Amino acid sequence: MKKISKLLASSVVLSSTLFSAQAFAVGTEAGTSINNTATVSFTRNGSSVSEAASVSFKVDEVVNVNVTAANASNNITNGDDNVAVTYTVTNTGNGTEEFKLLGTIGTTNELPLNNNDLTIYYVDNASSDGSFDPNNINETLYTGDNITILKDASITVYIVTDVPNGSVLNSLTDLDLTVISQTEANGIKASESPFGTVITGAGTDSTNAIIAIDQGRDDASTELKVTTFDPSQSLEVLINKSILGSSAQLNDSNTITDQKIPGAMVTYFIKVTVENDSATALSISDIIPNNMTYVAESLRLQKAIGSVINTPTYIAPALPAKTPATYSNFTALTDTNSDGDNAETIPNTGTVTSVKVALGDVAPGEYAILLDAVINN
Amino acid sequence: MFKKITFAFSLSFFSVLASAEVTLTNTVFEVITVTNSDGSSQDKWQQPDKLLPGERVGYQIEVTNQGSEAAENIVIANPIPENTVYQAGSAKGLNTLIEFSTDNGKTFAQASALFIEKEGERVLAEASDYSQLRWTLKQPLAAGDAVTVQYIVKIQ
Repeated sequence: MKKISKLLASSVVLSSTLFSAQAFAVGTEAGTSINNTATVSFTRNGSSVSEAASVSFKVDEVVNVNVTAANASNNITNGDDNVAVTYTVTNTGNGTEEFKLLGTIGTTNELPLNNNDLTIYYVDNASSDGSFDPNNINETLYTGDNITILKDASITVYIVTDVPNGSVLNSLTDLDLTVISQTEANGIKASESPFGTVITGAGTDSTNAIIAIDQGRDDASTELKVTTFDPSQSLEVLINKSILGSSAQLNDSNTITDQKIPGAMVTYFIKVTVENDSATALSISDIIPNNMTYVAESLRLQKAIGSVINTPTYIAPALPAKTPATYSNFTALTDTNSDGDNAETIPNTGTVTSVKVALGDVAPGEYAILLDAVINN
Repeated sequence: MFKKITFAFSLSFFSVLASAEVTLTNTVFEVITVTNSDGSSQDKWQQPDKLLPGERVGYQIEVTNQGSEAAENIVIANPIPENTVYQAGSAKGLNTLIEFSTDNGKTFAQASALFIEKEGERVLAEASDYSQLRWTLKQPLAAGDAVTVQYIVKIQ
């Protein structure tokens, strides 16, 4: 080995990069044997002699992946279903590789969405028509299993979601796709290894695997942007009914009690919430339960346009007179139909089976009624 | 751990074929670029810890005359391995004539005199055109002496 040292650079070292970026171009497939046979021929004492010596090695595996988003931004309308954003994932290593896909919501999330709202589909580029179609048999729902991608090959990945009805104009949410190599050996995982890590024996055909991208992963982000606002999609009307409280004559005393005994007078609180847009021809109706009797003139209304209505504290009515209690912020409505307060009892005379308060066109806000009914003896 | 790996490679990246009186050794190295403190850079040959597409591989071929008489007309020949490309100017060997072939060893010429036909024109062959190279010793190899030649390829 003496002679070798003459040819080799003698004084070097100082700093050395692990390997050059140039080394990461996809090239000879991992596991390929590179064979070299040198021969020497010479003559001695007039006769020719020839000898050969071979050496070979296998090309190691570069673990690398590239993720790109098809578009930097994707225009959507509030209320859209099955909105798909498109990514291309390419195995830029030189061996067949297993990957996992991870779809997440980025820092900007104004729509807003939850990670649980995201569904991932993927398709080999060879079978892809470039647009998401949930009924396309080639487009596979990703369920968390490893995906195999050949060297130099690409797949198309879709992150699919529904846009909330109430997403406002120009709101943005970033969707990130992360693709993670699953190469590992002896407890060393590509997904946890810094750039340049050599994982012995983890490559194709037991070659070494070299992590050419930090943590064995790449990601790309794209945004969903509400560029068209559809008011009809955004309107949300919610209704909630609860019992505010009940009172009864116990031992001839007017008593607030949870006991729903015959003769007890129950106060109902019904609240309607209108969100995001105005509601047209909104009315609140309530059917009087069987075995209960509506207390005349007990309808009371509160409107909180652009605001909220908190559940009021129960106030006992007068018993046995059955006089509804007065609540602040609530206005008493008459049972008389067509008298301008838009409240009516149905039927207007006799035993009331239901009540109705017509509010007409209302702006976002909260609207509530109170009504009383007595449990029949 | 590192020593263990190095040992393993020293077995697999090294071959010796001995005849009665001549030993031919063919050894593969990983060739990396190291940067000096003054910003200049140079090659360093080292035991491979990984060999990847785009990286450079150096071969050293040593011929030792272990006989009792001089060997004459020594020619060391080496086809460029498949999936690799010869790196221009990397072939070295003291007191040797270095020649290249673009036709798998039928004809050889020095780099400055090796022409090929490309698109109907006669042009100087580029390093990537080479398929073989050879070193012809300019003088006999005395008994007990050794000669070493080397070259570098890049893995495609």
